[in-house]
Amino acid sequence: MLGLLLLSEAAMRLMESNLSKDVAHLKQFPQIAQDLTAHPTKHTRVLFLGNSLTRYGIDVDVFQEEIRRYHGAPVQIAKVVPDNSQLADWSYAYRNFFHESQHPPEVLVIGFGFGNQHLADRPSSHPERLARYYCSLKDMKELCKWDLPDIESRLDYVVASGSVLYANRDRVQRWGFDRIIPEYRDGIQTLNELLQAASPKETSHVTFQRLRALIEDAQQDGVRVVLMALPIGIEYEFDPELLRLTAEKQVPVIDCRNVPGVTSDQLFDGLHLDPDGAKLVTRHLAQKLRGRVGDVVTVGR
Amino acid sequence: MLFNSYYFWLFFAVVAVLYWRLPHRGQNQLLLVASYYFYGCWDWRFLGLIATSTTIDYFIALAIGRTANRKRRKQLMLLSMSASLGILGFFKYFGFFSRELEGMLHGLGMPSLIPRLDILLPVGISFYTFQTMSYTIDVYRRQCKPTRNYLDFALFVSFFPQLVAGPIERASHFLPQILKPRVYREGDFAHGLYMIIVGLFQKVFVADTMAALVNGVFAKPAADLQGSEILLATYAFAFQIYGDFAGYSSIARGVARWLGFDLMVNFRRPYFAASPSEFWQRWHISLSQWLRDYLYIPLGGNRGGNWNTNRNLLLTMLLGGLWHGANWTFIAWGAFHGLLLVVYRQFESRATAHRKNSEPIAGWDRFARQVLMFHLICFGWLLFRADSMTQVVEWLNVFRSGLVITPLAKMMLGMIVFCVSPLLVFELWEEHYSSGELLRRHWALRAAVYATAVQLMIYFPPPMASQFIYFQF
Repeated sequence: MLGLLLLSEAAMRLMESNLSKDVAHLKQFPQIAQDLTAHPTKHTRVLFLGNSLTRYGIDVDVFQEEIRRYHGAPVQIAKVVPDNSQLADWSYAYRNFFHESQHPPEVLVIGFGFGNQHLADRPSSHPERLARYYCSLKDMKELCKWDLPDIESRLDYVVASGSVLYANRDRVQRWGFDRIIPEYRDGIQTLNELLQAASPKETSHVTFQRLRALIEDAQQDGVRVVLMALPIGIEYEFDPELLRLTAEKQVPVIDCRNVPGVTSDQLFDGLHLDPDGAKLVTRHLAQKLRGRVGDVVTVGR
Repeated sequence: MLFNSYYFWLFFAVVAVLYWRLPHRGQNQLLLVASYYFYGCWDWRFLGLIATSTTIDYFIALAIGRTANRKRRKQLMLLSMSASLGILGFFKYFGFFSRELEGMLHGLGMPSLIPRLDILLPVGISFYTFQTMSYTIDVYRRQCKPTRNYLDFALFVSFFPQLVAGPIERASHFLPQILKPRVYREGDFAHGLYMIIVGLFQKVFVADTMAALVNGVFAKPAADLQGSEILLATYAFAFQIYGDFAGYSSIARGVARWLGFDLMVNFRRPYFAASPSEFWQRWHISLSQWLRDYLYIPLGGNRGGNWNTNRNLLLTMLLGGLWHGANWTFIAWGAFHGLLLVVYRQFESRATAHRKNSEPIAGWDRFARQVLMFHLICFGWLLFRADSMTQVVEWLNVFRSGLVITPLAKMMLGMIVFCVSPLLVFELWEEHYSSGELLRRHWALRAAVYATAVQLMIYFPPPMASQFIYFQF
């Protein structure tokens, strides 16, 4: 039995990058960071942090073209946009791959949707992925404070840090169930919504301490931080606490929720932008960045 | 500290390593400390309660053992029962009865002076209370000698593998195992491993996955549900509660076996039962035997004619339902099972009279009865799962609109088939041969089955881990 488990682990390690595009992306974090800093003086380095909303919502070619058009400066763009992630994950990604590096990005754009869900203080939804792809031992203090509240989650983390099989079992499950169980995705989504609706509502005050820490880390690196609110097919508001923080830290919030020309038809699954919608949103972002980070973009380093 | 948690297995590893290095007395002391630690992890505030219950019954049993006066012995036994049931009644039923009485008084236009108390329910109180009660009753009946060793008795009450959800052990079966030294027997590891893997599979792969379906569907208002969704959620709940409870019992037995103890079988493939009496010989066997020996038989059993037997069956099952929880739905569930027993008893006695020979029912006849019995049990589970009788009526009303197959229903059916089929195939095989048949087969077959079970648990974790249902009892 142990032999079979070891065999499965070995097989999983061999085909890890083929598990999904998201796993391939996660494994590329070190390379992405390296590529971003490959031409430190010739290009302006822009890092997009976010999840699949940002991955679909930003057209890299359009962004490069717009920035070159406005500022005449070449731009090196990197996207760190793992699926189903949120600020908890992005803060570790920034801290472990970009913070205090020799050539950090010059502009950091954090894409979000759903109001508080992506930026507010919450534990990571996938601590096993943190274990495998984002974090190291030096993050334990922060992990125990925010993401691993009890012994069980910490032991889970330890197992996931050593086992690719364990860290990615939810993907295997989804892959299997997608093929075996009829209407699996829609059914699970419905169940999740029902359970969320039935669970006690959060009454505690929403905080953004982790976002504050990420902004401070980035600003310490001399990075200009920008928040970008993406369209998601439903209206959402900005938390007043979030706006207070961004005002205090002088972080622009680029509102792309209702970009002219973007319709609900351009959200191919009701949530994510299709290529046409992405082009419009990206142009809008690039225009809004003018004058906000134009000095950084023009001058470069 | 759930059985399907890393923390429990770390805890058990430490206990087991120390345990087998100690002499008999040391082993018992270690297990007692470990058991109180285990219980304290649930809620340390109730350690005093279990200690109090233990102390009361220890001294009363000794007093019963010391006196030959029948009247005095009975008084002491009744004192023990009053204390045990008093504690159980206060913590488990005070809130329910006070609410019902308050409602009744308000309905009559009278003020209610009953205090409102927010009482926490101690984990496992129903289990250890019944276990200590059976001890003093057995001492009274002279079926068991009272033990002089307080610590050994405390271990009998609090033994951690079976403390919070059974099986409810009898003193005549379990106390001697505590009192005499344990030796490691050949086959203990294999037997324990078998029971633990089967139990974890039932709990993690079957019960917890079914729980996600059940909790999601029953979170919806009845008016928004379709008949197919309720039907499938009921099937899912049938396997959730079975996987949960049987899984826990199996893990408890496996862990105990690794410590050299034999706990009683608590489940024996109950959904293969063809009648209610057979069901109760297969489901929560320790409770049904407890109810039979300490309630049904003292009430008269089947000795007083048809009317009295039916009355005794109904009363026993009503109280059995109440044992499960302080709600009318549990009482209704108990009453339903009592009614099933009574009705089946009438039909079976007539059928036996007409049957030409005494051969057992088999083949398609038995299969049809099993399917019918399963569905009757599922109806009972609807009562068990509901928060109120109103909710039961609302759910049943939904069936009047037919069985429209929704996408959610299709997904649920797929998940139920995927998760339950391996268990049913395994149990069908065991039903054909006998329990523990896998242990008699070649090790390669065992390894393949275990490997499959473990791989399924790893690759298909439950959407969310759930508490064991029976802990609320």
